[in-house]
Order: sequence, then structure tokens, then C-alpha cells
Amino acid sequence: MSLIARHFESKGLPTLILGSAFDILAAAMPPRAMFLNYPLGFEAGKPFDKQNQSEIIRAALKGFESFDSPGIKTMKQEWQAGWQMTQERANREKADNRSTRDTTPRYQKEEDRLLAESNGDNQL
Amino acid sequence: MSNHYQIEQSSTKPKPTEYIQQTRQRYDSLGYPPYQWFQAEDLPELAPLSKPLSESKLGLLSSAGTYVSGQTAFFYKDDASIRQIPSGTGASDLRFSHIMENYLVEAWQDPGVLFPIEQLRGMVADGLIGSLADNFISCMGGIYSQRKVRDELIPEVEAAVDEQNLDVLLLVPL
Repeated sequence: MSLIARHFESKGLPTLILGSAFDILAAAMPPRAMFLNYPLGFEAGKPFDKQNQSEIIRAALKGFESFDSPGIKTMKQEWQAGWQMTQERANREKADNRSTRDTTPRYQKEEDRLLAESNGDNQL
Repeated sequence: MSNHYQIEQSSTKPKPTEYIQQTRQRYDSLGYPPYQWFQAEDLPELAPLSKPLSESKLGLLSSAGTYVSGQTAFFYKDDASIRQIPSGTGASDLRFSHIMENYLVEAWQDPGVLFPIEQLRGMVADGLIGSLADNFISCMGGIYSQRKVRDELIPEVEAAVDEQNLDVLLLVPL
């Protein structure tokens, strides 16, 4: 994503990354990045917590108007319970059980597969 | 513009996770080839905003493999395609397919954790953002080949972004 942000910025389009992997951002030096110190998968806020999601997105987007030089700013939000939850999940699933890396579309729901197949090759 | 990259070290807790090192170790133990994170060697350019955010048209790019029910889902082996997500899409029609399935458990229940479509609409309603792109864009994060990112993904994203006449672009990675 940093590569993409850098590309658009060089063409004159201002970008802002809202990300949760500090080391990956720091290595890639995107033009404007807001670092949210939450576990991966919650870059836009806590699940079922619209107030937190609103707070995150509104605070992050202030970044568009607050960078004088390229860099990474850290957001103030912390989420101890979220780290515990993901750690417990990691302990439960010690094996890496991700699906095979092939070119089969991976649908979240079986009904999506049926719908998409009846639509033909539909990406738009 | 200043001639240095300004990294504000995180003072938040816990200490930021070292994902690059963790991933390297895990891939090594699984016998996968190492994932190549992008390592920048020069400073990025910083384009100034042409107008305040409250008057700007904002686009969104997600690399969480977001798709709308009815669209073809992403696949896991270097899928460099994109999906266009109409910015009026209801959250209940949003889906995710991404190689890091472990990170999608909650997003499958509440898409707002990765794809802030409702929050962005709320910000327009509150006058904080001028307007939204007709179509948001999503792609698959975790593409092994940087050549594929450069030669296939970026041109596709660029063509889709160019159609939207955006003033600013928000990127939310996974």
C-alpha cells in the first residue's frame, strides 16, 4: 500500500494510510501514515463499536491536513482487550491453517459464490 | 518541504508488533519463500491538498480483499485484480477474501473494522468530507511479486482512481 501511496503522491494526489503495522510502514516510508496500535484486522476500529470506529476514522483523517513533511504519526488509541483476544486466538490455532494459495476465488459465503457464478465474471 | 522522513515513535502500549520478523520466521518454518516487504530507499513526495478536506472528494482503497456480494471473490495466489465497491453499498453486502484469514474473523461479522464505508458516509453527512468517490476500490494485500504490484495492480488501481477525479485518497491496508 505504501508503494501505491507513493505512486499517487508523485502524480499529485494526496494520500493517507491508516495502518497498524508500524515496522512495515516505517520500512516503506509512505507520504502520510497514521499508525493505529491495534492488532491487524482492526485498522478501522473495534468490532461492533461504532463510536470507536467513528473516533478512529475522524482522528485519522485529520492527518490529511496535519503533515508538513512526509512521515508517520501515532494515534493515541490503545486496546488491551483486543490484544488479549488475538493472542488467545493465536494460542488456539498454533498451526498455520490458511487455505491453499491457488487461483480459486475464496468466497466468504457459499451464497456469494453461487451469486457471482450466475452473474458471470463480474468484478465491477 | 523538509528533507527528512519524520517518524513519530509510538508511545502507545503494547510495544508495536514486529510483523516483518514474525512473518519471516513463520514462512521459514513453513518452508515458504520469504515475503519481500517494500523497503523504500528515498523520500516520498508529499502532494499538498488543493482544498480543505471538507470540500474534497475522497476515495478509499482497501487491501483487505473486500468485495460486494455478487462480485467474484479474490484468490490467494498473487491476485493483482481490483474490485470497485460503490460507495453507497450497505455494510451487510460487504465481504472479504484475503490470504490472512485469521485476521478476518471479526471483519466477516462487522465490515466496519476494515472498510469504513459507513463512517465515511457519516463524515460527509456531518460536513467533514466534501464528497465520496462513486466507487471505492479494493485489492488483495499480500501479493508476493512486487513486479505484479508495479506492472499489474498499480495500473489497474490508477485507471480506476483516474475515473473518479479525486482530491484525496485514503488507504486502509491489511
